[in-house]
Amino acid sequence: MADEDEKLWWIDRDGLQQLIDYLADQGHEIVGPRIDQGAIVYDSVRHVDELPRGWTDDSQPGVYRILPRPDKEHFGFNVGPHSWKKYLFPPLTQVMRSRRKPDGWTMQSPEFENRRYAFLGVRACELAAIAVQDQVFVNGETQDPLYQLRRSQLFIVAVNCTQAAATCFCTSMGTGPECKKGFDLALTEIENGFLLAIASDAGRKAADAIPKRTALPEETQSGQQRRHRAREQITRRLNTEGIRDRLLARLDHPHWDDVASRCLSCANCTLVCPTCFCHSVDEVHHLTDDEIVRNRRWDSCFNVDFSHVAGGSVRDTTRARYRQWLTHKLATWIDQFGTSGCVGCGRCIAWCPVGIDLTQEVATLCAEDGP
Amino acid sequence: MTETSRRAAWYKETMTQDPSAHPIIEQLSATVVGRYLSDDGIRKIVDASQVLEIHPGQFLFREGQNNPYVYVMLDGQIDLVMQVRHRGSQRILSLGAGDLVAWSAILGNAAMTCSALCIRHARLVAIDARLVSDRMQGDHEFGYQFMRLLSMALAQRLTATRLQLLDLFAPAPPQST
Amino acid sequence: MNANPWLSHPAVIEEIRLEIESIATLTLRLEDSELAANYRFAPGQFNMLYVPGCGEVAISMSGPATDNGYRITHTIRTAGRVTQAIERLTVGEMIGVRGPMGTPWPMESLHGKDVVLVSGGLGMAPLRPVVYALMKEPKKFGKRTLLYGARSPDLLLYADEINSWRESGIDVHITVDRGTDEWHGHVGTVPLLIDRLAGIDSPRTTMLVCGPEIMMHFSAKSGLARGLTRESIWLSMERNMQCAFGMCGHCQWGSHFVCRNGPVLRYDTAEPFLKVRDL
Repeated sequence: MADEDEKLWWIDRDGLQQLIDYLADQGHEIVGPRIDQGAIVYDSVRHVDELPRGWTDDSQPGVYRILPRPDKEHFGFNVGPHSWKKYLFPPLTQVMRSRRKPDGWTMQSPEFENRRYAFLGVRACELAAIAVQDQVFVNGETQDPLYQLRRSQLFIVAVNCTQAAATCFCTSMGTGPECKKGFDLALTEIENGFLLAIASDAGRKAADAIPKRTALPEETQSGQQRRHRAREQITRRLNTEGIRDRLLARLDHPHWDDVASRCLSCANCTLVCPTCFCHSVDEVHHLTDDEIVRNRRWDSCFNVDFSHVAGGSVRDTTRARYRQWLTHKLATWIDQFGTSGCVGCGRCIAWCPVGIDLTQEVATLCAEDGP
Repeated sequence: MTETSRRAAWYKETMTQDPSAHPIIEQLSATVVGRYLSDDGIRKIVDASQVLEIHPGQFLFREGQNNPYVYVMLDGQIDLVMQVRHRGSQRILSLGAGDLVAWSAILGNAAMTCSALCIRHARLVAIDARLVSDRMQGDHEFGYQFMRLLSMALAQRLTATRLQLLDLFAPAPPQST
Repeated sequence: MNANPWLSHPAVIEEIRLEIESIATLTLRLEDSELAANYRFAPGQFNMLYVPGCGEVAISMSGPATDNGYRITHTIRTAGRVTQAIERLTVGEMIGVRGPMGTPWPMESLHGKDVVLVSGGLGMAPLRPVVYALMKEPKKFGKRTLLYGARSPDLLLYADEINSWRESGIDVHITVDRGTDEWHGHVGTVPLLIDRLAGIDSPRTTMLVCGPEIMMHFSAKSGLARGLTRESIWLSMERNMQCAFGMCGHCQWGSHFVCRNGPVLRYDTAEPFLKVRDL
């Protein structure tokens, strides 16, 4: 909850639609959960009918599918293959362009593709993921102009989870399941509608524009019970105590060979991970050789060329690349950015084709007592 | 005349013996020898050694020769040189202060695997391998210390040789576009 | 909106000096005169050099740090796609420059110290700005030594400058991996020069090392064996670089972004990761 003392409101389905309408009127492009090709993904949402009402997801190591629910809840699922990073840190974007002139080149910045998004249905782990990426793209010595633009115009409607998937472990990472900060409005779905919490000025303005009333005590209690249920349902754990030192002391542990024998180096985990930020730049020739554009695109440390230097790739084995991913995500990220890179969303576990579970791998690696 | 006595005679003829041999205890203690041998051990070595000076252009020993001395260099530069057919003399490695030379005298059959050519005026402690071996037989503690010294020198030489083998400054093969 | 950190700036190639093998030194002049006047770098830093249509490559500056953007010097070995494209450029053509990037050599901390520079092969290029600094203000430093290794005597980079370095009072020791008949100098790997360097006053000595990773690793070990501390040895690391401002992830090495925390890294922060070859 935003603040124990903060007033809780109640809105119905129609109120939610009016919220979407208000945000659209304010020039926001609303994106939220929708069903596409058998998964719950993030895409444009303009009407509450487009939400995955009455659907839930089943996430296991190497398994993901959606199933119908007995009730008609709009947000009765957890996370799918998409994360919100694709909007703030687009998979493909221009970063520079050059034009040939008689005596050489002119070099310019591109028109940055600014978008005014409103995210609808952001879970607590995802709020944490956005904060993690803020550290990477905005809060360091250098800022990414596009991320900064889009981030400054973003409106977030968070959603408190009322259940947990088998792959969730946000409690171990201290990122959930309750939404505590980093949003404008937060919803908790209950039987007859939604509890609404306001957390910012922009959120207050939006709330003022829609029909609502004060939540009744039994509604507030129902919300608490449902959020508590989400916490109770979490079974997966990652022991984070001393994890940075433990992992960095085990860089030559034999277990890396074991994971490497299973890992396909397919990069799925990095694609679905909401915090992964690695990218590369490519040259693109437009029409003729007289106009060159530099594009930034998502990349992955699992790609064999990712660490290429003169003479070959530094990480030329799956073992080296898996170790890089895991130790970066859970250990060296802390040195770099002050927090863990993992938010416990569990996507990497579900979307790994061979079902590698990083919570298990860490447990095995750190099993015996050591330095 | 045996090979050994011929060598000893050759030394007397071609090398200048340093009359001030007493400070070699201090000089040896200051080298790597001092790290591995006790004072008593150093004295045992000194009893079996003499200090030699060698001049640029002179060979300390030649490839294939039987050489019954192990040397500790005090200063100067001596290069290990090997003859390769069609290529002539190849300078393999430069040795300087603190380096051990010609351990085959103790470890192997004393036949030198390369020649040692003086590049810059050098002073060495020449240790009679036979005398030291006898001492090691009688005093195993001394033997253990001396063999540790040799092992360390071997290990260091191996690492240095490996680094040379790696040809680290060679350009990486150009990648195809 | 903040400046675009990806924006490269056109520079004209003023001079190309062929060095040894496939190595050349380029002198560049930034086209924009305001940028040129304001461009400054510190020894050890690098620029991303850009050939439109081909890509960028990270190259350290190899000239004196007193130069501004009218005269930026880079020594480049032809190896991959981008350096091959650079090799095909001629005087008067343009190249993009983005920089200066990276953490430089700790020049301030060298003041009053005995300085030992240890370089191997092309590693001499990022250290040459330090040599120039040592020559320019010798009184700021104690004893100045350069230990320099090359493949063979004919492959010594900047060979024609070495005498002037010696004349300025820098004690220069050269070694080669393979000698020749005419070579009367040292034969053997660079760390041996450290093992044998006479008169090291270890509490007063700082060592800067640049060359192949293995060479740096063993040079640091030799330095420690001579009594230097882990805080008084510095290395310059290399990794795949694309953004060069710590965001694309390519240059990561343990906890470090080599482009930002490095390329110059103090040995104590590098040691845990140097031990793991394919990190």
